[in-house]
Amino acid sequence: MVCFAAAERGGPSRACHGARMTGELSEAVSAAQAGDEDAFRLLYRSLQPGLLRYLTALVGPDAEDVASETWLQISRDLPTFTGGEFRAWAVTIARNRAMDHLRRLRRRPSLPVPVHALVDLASTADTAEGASETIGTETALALIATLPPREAEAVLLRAVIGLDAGSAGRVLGRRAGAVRTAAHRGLRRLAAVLETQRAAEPSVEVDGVPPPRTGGSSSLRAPHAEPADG
Amino acid sequence: MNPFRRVDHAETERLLDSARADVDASSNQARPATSSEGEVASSPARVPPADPVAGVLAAAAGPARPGELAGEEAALAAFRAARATPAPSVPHRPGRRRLTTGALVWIGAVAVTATAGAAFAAVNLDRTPEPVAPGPSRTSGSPDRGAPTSGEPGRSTPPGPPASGQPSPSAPVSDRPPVPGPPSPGTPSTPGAPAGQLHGLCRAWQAKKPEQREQALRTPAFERLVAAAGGVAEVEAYCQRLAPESRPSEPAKPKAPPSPTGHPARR
Repeated sequence: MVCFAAAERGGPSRACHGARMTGELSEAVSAAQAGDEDAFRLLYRSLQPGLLRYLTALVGPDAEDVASETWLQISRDLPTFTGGEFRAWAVTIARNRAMDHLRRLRRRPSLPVPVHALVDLASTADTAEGASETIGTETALALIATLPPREAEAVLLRAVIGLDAGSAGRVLGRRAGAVRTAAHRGLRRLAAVLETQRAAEPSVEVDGVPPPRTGGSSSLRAPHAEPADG
Repeated sequence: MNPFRRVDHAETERLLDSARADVDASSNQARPATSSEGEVASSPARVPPADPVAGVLAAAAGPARPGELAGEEAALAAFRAARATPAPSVPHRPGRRRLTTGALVWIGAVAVTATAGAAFAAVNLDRTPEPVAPGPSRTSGSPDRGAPTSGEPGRSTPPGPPASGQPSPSAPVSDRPPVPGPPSPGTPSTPGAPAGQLHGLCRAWQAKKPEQREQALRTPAFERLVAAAGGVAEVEAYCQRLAPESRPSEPAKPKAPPSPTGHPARR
């Protein structure tokens, strides 16, 4: 807990944050495996928001149900967790539950596009200069959810759950490079959307999300040869 | 025009990493207050990023909103339930466990062999027709017929027909209804799942919001509960018996006895 002491003195570095988060998490995992309820509570509080947001992108309004199924399984299978990245383990459970859920519903993992969110985004982005203060979590998630599913998943696992590309790849059953590419394309698409919002505010057109430009660099080829998810 | 079009993967990685790092900073500062939901909205450590995409990512990874932690008690109930009935195979210390298991198996084998041998010998000696029927043993024998067998049931009774014409103790008595055996357990018909697990499932289910309960019962997580209760409509009453809802903070007891029939449901 050297990093924790550093944080109390003030001005911790970002790398320290990452290390501290991981260390704290794995401590909490072993304590929870030994039966410590407070440790489990800590795990819940640090993971649940990200899980719920990720699940919302996968199953929409059923995310809360799937999340509670996920926690049921996490608490049941916690003794079998043998180490590694706990968040990746938990997210894998969540994703499997989500896929089961979708299979039950016979539905594809696609989202109802929240148009109103984009409208809000357009109006607020124009009135205020600092975008970060005006874009709420809800709006940002809705915006990310408009991405193609693979890109949305990659962005959410990386940015919201906080996995690195390798762990995210293991969750998705894909290579780390494929995750990087998907996230990259997702962010480019987001940037393009934001730009069009800014340029022409009245015509909020959800289908007007521009297709990915694959001509720019060779690293952005569409990875269509990968195995399907699920 | 848009600088983001030119960025490479490294820039993407940096953006993705920084979104979460800001959250870690703010959530860690809020954590010593045990994440009281009042200060969820304020995130002092967040700096407004210049890049709009970074702004979206930071917002998407923003600190927990109050509704997002609503299932905390349900998750904890599930955790307690899982603790009450741990998973069957927990490879904690494989070497030691193997040793223990080996010793247990060995002891068990010896015991079985010894018992089987004794039983075999007893059968050979006695030629009792039904060696498995327990019959009234000496500990619970009815007082009116406890006399004819001497203290040791396995050895002393001669195999021949009893001279007094009394039925042998192991044979079923025709004129009396069979004695309700004392070891018959009072467990309600839950063949597969142990009571503790059902208790935990009840707790998890009860912790849900009322409008979510019915939907939850259609998920496979509660399949066993529905099966044990005998239907979706019976779950509430069943759980009310098994885990009364009035004390939500009480730790889950694995062997909460199902209350007897006359017990009215408390609310």
